[in-house]
Formats: sequence, structure tokens, C-alpha cells
Amino acid sequence: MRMPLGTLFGARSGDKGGDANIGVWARSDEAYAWLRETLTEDKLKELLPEVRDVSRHELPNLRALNFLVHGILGDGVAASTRFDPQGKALGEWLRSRVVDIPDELFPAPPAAPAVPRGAAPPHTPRAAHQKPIP
Amino acid sequence: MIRIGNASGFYGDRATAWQEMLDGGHLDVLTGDYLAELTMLILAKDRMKDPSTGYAKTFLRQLEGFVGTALDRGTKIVTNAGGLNPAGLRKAIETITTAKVAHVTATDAGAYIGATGIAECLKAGADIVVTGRVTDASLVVGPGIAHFGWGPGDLDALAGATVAGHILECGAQATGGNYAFFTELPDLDHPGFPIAELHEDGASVITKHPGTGGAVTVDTVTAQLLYEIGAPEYLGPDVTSHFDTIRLTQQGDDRVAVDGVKGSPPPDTLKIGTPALAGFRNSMTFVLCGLHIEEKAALVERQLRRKIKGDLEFQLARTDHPDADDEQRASALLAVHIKSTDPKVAGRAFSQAAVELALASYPGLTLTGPPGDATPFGIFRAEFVPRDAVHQVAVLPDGTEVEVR
Repeated sequence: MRMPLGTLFGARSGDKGGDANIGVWARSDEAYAWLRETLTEDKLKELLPEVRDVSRHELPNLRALNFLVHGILGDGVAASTRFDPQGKALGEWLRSRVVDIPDELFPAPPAAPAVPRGAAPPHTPRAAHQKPIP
Repeated sequence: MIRIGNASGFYGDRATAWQEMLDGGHLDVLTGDYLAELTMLILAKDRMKDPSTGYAKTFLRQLEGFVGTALDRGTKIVTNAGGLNPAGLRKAIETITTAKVAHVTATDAGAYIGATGIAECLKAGADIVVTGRVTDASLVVGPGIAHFGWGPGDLDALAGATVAGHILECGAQATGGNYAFFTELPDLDHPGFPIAELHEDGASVITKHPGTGGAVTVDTVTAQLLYEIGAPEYLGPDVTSHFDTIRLTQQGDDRVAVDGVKGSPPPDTLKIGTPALAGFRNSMTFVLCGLHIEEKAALVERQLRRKIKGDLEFQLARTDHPDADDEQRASALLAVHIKSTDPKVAGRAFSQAAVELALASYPGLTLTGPPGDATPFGIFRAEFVPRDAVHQVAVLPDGTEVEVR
């Protein structure tokens, strides 16, 4: 079903100089297997169009993927004019993106939709509006 | 086993956390992390104005309040609040307490040094150990070395302690703060700070004081393990810790066991972070409400570029909704940033130019704040030098200087 990634997956992000990292983790082995298969470097760039250059590392012991996003913070936190200069909310932005998730990964009964019917679409910066997910 | 708590995750963290951690239950060691890349730039600015500063001043004020309790309970204090001037902070501490103080210095104040200096100070009987730029995790590794007598070859133990240190270093981020599934926690209003019960083999149990808010679960600990990391080989001055070997197990309420961590030798180089003044910056934000948002933004851009010859950047955030039933949801925000090597260009010349548009630009012009002066900004550059190029000294409570590596 079409659901925000964050209904099943956690994330935490932060800065490392001009780079940011986004750690994403699953809470079951099945969900991790799907995440590992689905959330490739290219998929991350599609979901977060501000991400240009990214490398992915796997941490199966934590059921986690770590994305190192190169150069997104320019010259680093003190010089960056990005409105989130430390990349603190990149993880929450990713969790808000709506993707197709297999029904069987949801514990029955499925959780209430995170985006209520009739509500405005979640805010994303302009670049994301220009490239909606099909 | 030793119980090590953390009471500060950054310069500006909860001021009462030290007292809360001392009052909440027994701790052998209480650590406080004050340094981040941005903090080093702030401290460098302080020190340019006054050479006797360059350390985290808030720590000194906090210490005045809690040092008596720490001494009564026999809890050792270990902090990197010394920043760019650990000797200066030590001197200031010695004017407010008779506790035994020691400090660690390095020839390059921006070098990310390891835990050995801290261990030397603790072994010499220090009640308070002040360092400059050590790696955050070394604040936990140092007490481990002092207590268990680990040598440089005890790689798995050092790696286990490093992982415990990484979990503790950001305070409440291990206990439910900044946590994706925060809606599942019964009480996050005032989360407790984290504690590691560190064992001789480097394994630990992460917990918090009873009755405090937040939670310690496999998920809250996983979240913090993923914070600000790169490749699974986590490089540090004490050991290379392999994050793909960490095993987490829920042991009970608010207790997570951390074990299985493998270590390998640290790199032959040390990282040096050099904060450098890069120029001056300023920002003004215009509120654009209703119709013709793009045209309104384009007009402001043309008008400002006519007047200002600095490096301008325009960021339009389309927070507006069409036909909105409240004014805020009808509005977009245009942030204008300037950077210049000249504080005058980035200062009032810029912010006043923005204000002057008030009656002479798009309909409904309003700004989110008054015009301000430019602020200096820095760029943080990291380089790597051979380990031997950095001379590290532990200055013990009696003044003896011990060279460490």
C-alpha cells in the first residue's frame, strides 16, 4: 500500500562537515530485507531530489542502512545557507515520503494513515514539487 | 563494572542535567561533551577577543553548583569543556573548588586525540579531568582504561567502550530525544540522560536513572548508533570500531545490552579540525502572501541586486497554500542571504536595503525580523597528520606533566 516510509522505518540524520548522513532502520527482519532491496542510492535520490551524491553502507546487525550524502551542506554548518544547515531533519523528510510498501510488512491491522484524507500534502522544498513521485 | 553517565551532549545542553544525574543514583564517572565543529568556531571567536577564554564558560557556572555533590558522592567528572584552552579552564576551576583537577593538552588544539591522557589523570587521583578536543567517545574510553587497565592491544574492549561512548555522547538522543517513533513513548517531556554500565570486556548495558522520562530501548539506542557515522569501520584515535559487529539486546525496562563489538588497530594518523574565519554573513526573510508569489520574489531579487554588490542568495520556500483560510498558510517565505569578506557590505548596508523596500515593492511586504548586523562565519577544514606530529601531555593534579601517546 502507498504509505509514508516512516510508518515502518525510523531514521536519524546529522552533519559531518559539508556532508550529512541519514541512518534508516527497520524493526523486523522482513522489513529490513525489503528496505535493503528497495532503498537504493538511486531511490534515495528520487525521494530526496536535493541529494546529488550519496553512498550507502549496510549494517544488517542493526537492520539499518547508512547513507552518506556528500556535499549537501556546502562548506559545513557555520557557512551553510541551507535552512536546515546541520541536516537534522533530512531523516524526517525521508520518512514523510510516500512509497509502495508490501501489505504483509504491516502488523495487522494496519496503522491509521499518517496523512489524513483531505489534508494538505506534506511540505517539501521546491525541487521536490517539481518532480513528484509517479 | 563501572557506571558512567553523561550530562551534556553539546555546548548549550540542559543546564540542570549535571545535578539531576548526580542526584538520580550512583555513578562512578559523569562526563560532559561540549564540543562540535560549530562550537570550535564559536570558541575560536571568543579567544580572538580574550586569550584567557576559549573554553565552555557554561560548564564553569554549572560546576559551581554541583561540585560539592560530586565530591561527596565520589563521582569523577570528565569533560572536554576545555575546548581550545583546557589549561585556562583548569585555572578557573581551581579558583572555585579545592577538588583535585587535572587537564590534557595537545600541541595542536584542534587535534582529535584519544583517551590515554584522561586515563593518566584519573589514575593520578583527579576528581575533575578537563580536556580540549578529544573524540567524544574518548570521554567514556578514558575511565574504562583507568579502571580496567586496558592496553592498546585490548582492541575489542576499547571498541566496546567506544561504542558505549558514541551512544552516550549526545545525551538524551539515546533516551528518546530526536527519536523517530517518539509518539510511542509514554513520557518524553523531560527525558533522563543516559548511563553506561561498562564491563571489563568492553560490553555495556545502557540505562538511565529510575523515574526519569524518555526510554532506553533497542530502537532508541539504534537511532543514536546511526547518528553522524560514515562507513561501518568507525575510525578513532583509540581503536577502529566495527559498527557492523554491534549486538543490541533488550534486557529489561530501560536496559539495553551492547556486546559483540570487534576492534582493530586505529589509523596511524590523527584528524585535525581547523576552524578558519571565512567572512561575514547576514539574512533577511520576506513574507510573500497570496497571489503572484513567483513574481513578488522576482521583484525583490531585482531590487536588491540593484543596490547590493555582495554575494546574494535567494531561497523561496513555497509554504503558501492557494485559497487558504488563515494568513500564515497563505504565505510563502523568501530568505535572502549575503556573504562578504567586508562586514560593512554584509551588515546594515544589506539589511537596511531590505527594509527600504517596505513601501516601494510588492503588495503586502513584511519581514520576519528587524535589520541586523553581519555575523562572522567560519569554515571548518579537516586534515590528517601523523600521530607522532601531535604532542599530548597530561598535567596531573600536582602539576606533574606526563607525555602520552
